[in-house]
Order: sequence, then structure tokens, then C-alpha cells
Amino acid sequence: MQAQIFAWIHTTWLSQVAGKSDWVFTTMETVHFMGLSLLLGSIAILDLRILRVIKRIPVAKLFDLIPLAMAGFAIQLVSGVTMFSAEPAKYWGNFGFRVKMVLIALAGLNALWFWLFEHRDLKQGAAGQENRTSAKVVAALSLALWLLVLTFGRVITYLDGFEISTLFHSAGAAACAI
Amino acid sequence: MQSHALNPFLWLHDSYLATIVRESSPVYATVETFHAIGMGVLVGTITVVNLRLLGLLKRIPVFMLVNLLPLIWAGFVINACSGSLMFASDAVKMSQNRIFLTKMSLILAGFIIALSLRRVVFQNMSKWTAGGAIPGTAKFLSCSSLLVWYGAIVAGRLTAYFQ
Repeated sequence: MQAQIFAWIHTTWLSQVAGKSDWVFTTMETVHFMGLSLLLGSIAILDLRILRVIKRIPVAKLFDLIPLAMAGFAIQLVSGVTMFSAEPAKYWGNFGFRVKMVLIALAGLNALWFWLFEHRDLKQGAAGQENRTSAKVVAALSLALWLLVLTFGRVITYLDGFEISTLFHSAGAAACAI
Repeated sequence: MQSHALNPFLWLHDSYLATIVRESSPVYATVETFHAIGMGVLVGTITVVNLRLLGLLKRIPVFMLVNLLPLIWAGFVINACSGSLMFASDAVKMSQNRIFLTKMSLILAGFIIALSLRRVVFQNMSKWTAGGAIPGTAKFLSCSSLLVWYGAIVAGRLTAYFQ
């Protein structure tokens, strides 16, 4: 099943283009770094403002950064999917990639929570007013999750060929030795 | 083989810290990760400031952008430190790498543009905040700033490929 899916991905136009030349891949990687800057920068400003590390700008005025963060995410999605399509089996088997995908899903849920339950209250809050604790927790989680997404993205290359099971094996062996 | 006295980059390459960064891949990966975090904070915040000066993100009052400047500095410091470590770990080759030298020139240009923007926009705030119109010079500088910083990202990525 999995092998069939990967084989199908390889037949797609996107995979053919991405896998054909190093230039396409390098370009996508560079674009991925640009999108990272847009996404992380705007999210960091918003989160740090809710956490009151940045002060004096009313939170509601910073909501203009949300479309910018979404634009950054869209860039990440397109460049990321292109890179994935070049070598699906390699990424799918990579521990760093898997953790990264789970973290993105969690960050997405966290953003959804923000939009559903915190967004309106923050919008109405006055400039000097303390934000409520739940909003701060969401902001801290968002910052932590996106920094971890970046970290696990960065180590994908280093974990090429790394098997998580070997870690359990060596942990098991160590436990037996004790 | 040149002596250390004649080639400061060789001395840097062989220094204790540079050797650790070069020889341990967990350490190198950590430094690299910090470089990416710093880049996101630095370029991301600069983008927000520049886009605002170009007339986008209109709800953010221009005079409030001053509060974002410490974040730009934080990103810059993270990247200067992590970048210096990575440079030192491969100092001899890097000092001769044209793409890397291009990146350094772009960063220098970005720095000068940022200082000019501070002069034009943030130190003359009272002159034009009342009217609300952003001076043409500020728009020109913002455009150049975006080009230069995103150019630095491109050059940085290419540095890893052409050594």
C-alpha cells in the first residue's frame, strides 16, 4: 500500500520536476527558509505581545499579522510538499520528519483554539489590560511548538537513515546490562 | 601549509571552540538550528516593519513599530553568535568563499539601510505622523531592505552548497 502510494507520487508532475534537477530542490529549500521567516517572525511578534514581552502595541492592531503568518504557512506548504514529492519514502521514514508533522498538527490545533476561544476577548481588551491566563498559555504553546517544528525540520538531514527502534534496542540493552 | 601567524583564519579554524563545532554533529546541528531561529526572528520582524512602511498591515500605527526593534536586535545577536561559530569551524575555506562574502556584504548593506531607516522614519516621527503619509525615502529604503535581507537568505543557503 505504502509502496504503491510512493510509486504513484513519483509519477506526478510535481515529483518529476522536483526530482529532476538539484536546482529545483535548492530553490524550494531557499523558499522554505523565506516562508519560515514570514511565519516565525509574525507569530513570534503576536505571541510575545500576548505574553507581554513586547508592550505598548494593542494586541488587536497586531491581528494584521495573522494573514502574513498564513501567507508564510502557505509558502511552507507548497515548498514543503514539493520537496516531499521528490523523495517521499525518504521523508516518510525519517524520524525528524514524522515528529515535525505531528508538531505542525498540534500547532494547527493550538491556532484553532486561539481563533475560536481567545481571538475575540483579546480583540476587545484595552491596551494596558492584562491578558487572561488561557490566552498566555496558548501564546506560549504556539511559540514553543513552532520553534520545535523548526528544530525537527533542521535535523531531518542529520537523522537520514536513523531508526528510532535502534534507540529502543540500545536502551533495552542498557537496561539489561543494569 | 601556512603558519598560524600568517593566516588568522587558520588560527581560528584550529581554535578550541571551532574544533568542537566542526567535529561534533549534535553541536553543529544545534548551532545551525539557532541560526535558523535567529533568521526567522530577524528577517520576519524586519519584513513586518518594511511592509508597514510600504503601506501594508495598515492597522499597526507606524510609531508603534519602535517597539519591535528590540526583537530585530535579538535576532541579529543570535545570528551573529551562531554565524561566527559556524564561520570559525570552517574559517579558511569560508574566508575565500565568494557566496559567503556576498552574504556578508548584503548583511552590511542591510545594516546600513536599517540605520538610515531609523534616521529617516523613527527619529523624525513628529514631522509626519500627524499627516500619516509615509515619505518616499522610507518606501525606497524598505524595498531595498527586503531585497537585501531575502538576498542574504538566498546567499546563506547557497553557501552550504558551494564550498
